[in-house]
Amino acid sequence: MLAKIQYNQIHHYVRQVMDAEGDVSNKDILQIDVTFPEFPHLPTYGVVVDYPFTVESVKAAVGIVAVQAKEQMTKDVIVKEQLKDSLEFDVEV
Amino acid sequence: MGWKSPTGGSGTGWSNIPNAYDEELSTYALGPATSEPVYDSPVELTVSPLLCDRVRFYVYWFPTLPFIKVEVYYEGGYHEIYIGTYIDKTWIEKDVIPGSSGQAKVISKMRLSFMHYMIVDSAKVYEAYFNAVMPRLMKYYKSRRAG
Repeated sequence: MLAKIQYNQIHHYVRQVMDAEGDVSNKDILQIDVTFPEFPHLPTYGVVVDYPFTVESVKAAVGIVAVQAKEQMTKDVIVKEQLKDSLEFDVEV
Repeated sequence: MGWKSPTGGSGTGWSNIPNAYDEELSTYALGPATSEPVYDSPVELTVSPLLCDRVRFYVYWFPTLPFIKVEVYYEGGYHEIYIGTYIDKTWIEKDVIPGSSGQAKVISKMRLSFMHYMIVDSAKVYEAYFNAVMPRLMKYYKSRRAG
């Protein structure tokens, strides 16, 4: 599954984060948007990676999103099949 | 052409929704208080149908791990255009067609839903806009007239 990082949606931000004790601090992050060209109906997914980053950390983050997208697609296919088996897609109510 | 404010809105559990399109960054629409790790009730913002290639928004949620889902309405249904993290109180732009910058659709609504963890809090939508673009044919005639 090919994942494409959108060049115009790569940002280095400083964001506030809260730890388990409720303490708020600033943290540098890389925010990137990822699309899946083979599946144009899927949305863009936003991913955050700690900054400074490594190629491996970016690939790992993109990989997690790809798995989530695949899982969602699988669920959608199943539910569409279930509907198809029992109903027409245009339902008169 | 350019950024257009919504002209109406609604959302279960949301209050002060007109603040999301009053063109004031000091006021906001307030979402329902939640700490459940699911997308909460969305705020829906409407506009007279326009050819649109991007939307942008300026929102806030407490600094836990905020996620937003952005959907736009065209061709008879809502389409998810973005799911993921966002930065508080920063203008964020998203393409209407994921991965296809500059492509436009006739849009009449957008929906924003939020999700976060750990504490009970509410999302705040300060402003949201639709970017209206000129149809390609009109651009062509205008450029010819200009010379």
